[in-house]
Amino acid sequence: MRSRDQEETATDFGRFSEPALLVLVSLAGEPKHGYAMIEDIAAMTGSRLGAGTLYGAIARLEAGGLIEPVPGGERRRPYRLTAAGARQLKARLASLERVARIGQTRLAGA
Amino acid sequence: MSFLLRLYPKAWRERYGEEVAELLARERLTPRLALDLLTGALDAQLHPQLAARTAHKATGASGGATVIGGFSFRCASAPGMTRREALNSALLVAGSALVLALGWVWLKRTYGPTPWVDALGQVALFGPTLAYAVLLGAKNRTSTARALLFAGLLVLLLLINYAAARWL
Repeated sequence: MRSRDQEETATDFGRFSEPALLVLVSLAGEPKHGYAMIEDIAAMTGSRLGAGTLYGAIARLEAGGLIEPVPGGERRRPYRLTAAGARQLKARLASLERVARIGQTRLAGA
Repeated sequence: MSFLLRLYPKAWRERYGEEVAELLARERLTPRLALDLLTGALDAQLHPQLAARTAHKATGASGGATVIGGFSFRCASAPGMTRREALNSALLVAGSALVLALGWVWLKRTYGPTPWVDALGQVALFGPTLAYAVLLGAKNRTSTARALLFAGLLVLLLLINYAAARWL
């Protein structure tokens, strides 16, 4: 089982950080296949991820234990958040919310 | 579009190939998508351990195989590579980068900053790593074929950099 330190380093995804975050947010609602994630992310952000970028993020998230295929008999299974993935997402969104609040306060005061 | 998936490593294709092929069947091939797949393939070649980890999990390997797989993963730089092969590959990349860099320094001191010399300098920085990434996909070829592929890729990169410096 991963330690909390290992979970933090597992999310050092370089240029895949933003797509990985979007995938986690997309899966926070319900398990999805790749195409459904692309459509969901396009609806959220107005921008469509390419398959190469999406699966670069999926591979990293799966290797890091943050998402997993839903167990079942089908060959093509949707992905879902793991407990570690939900914790990571919650922490990341809290951090982004703090930054957004500070940024908006500073802009209002400028 | 499935021909672009052949640029990905075998372990990656085994794990994600079917899903991605199904996804691509619903998309129109555009230059942007092609470039996205190319960069994704390069990334997958540079990080073969990602697909190896998830392929291992997906097949539900037994306890003994998991221990062996984990040990192999830690010692090798790519799925199926022995420790010796991983060391040889690392020496190849580091050694060729060093040789190219020293050659660049000598040529620059001798002939000054010409387009060829500058092109060599840029290839020395990232060429061996890029060429090695493609080599991972040619693991089953003979040593001669791999050497020719490696050298050929470096020459190609040199020509591209020279053309970019000269005409752009």
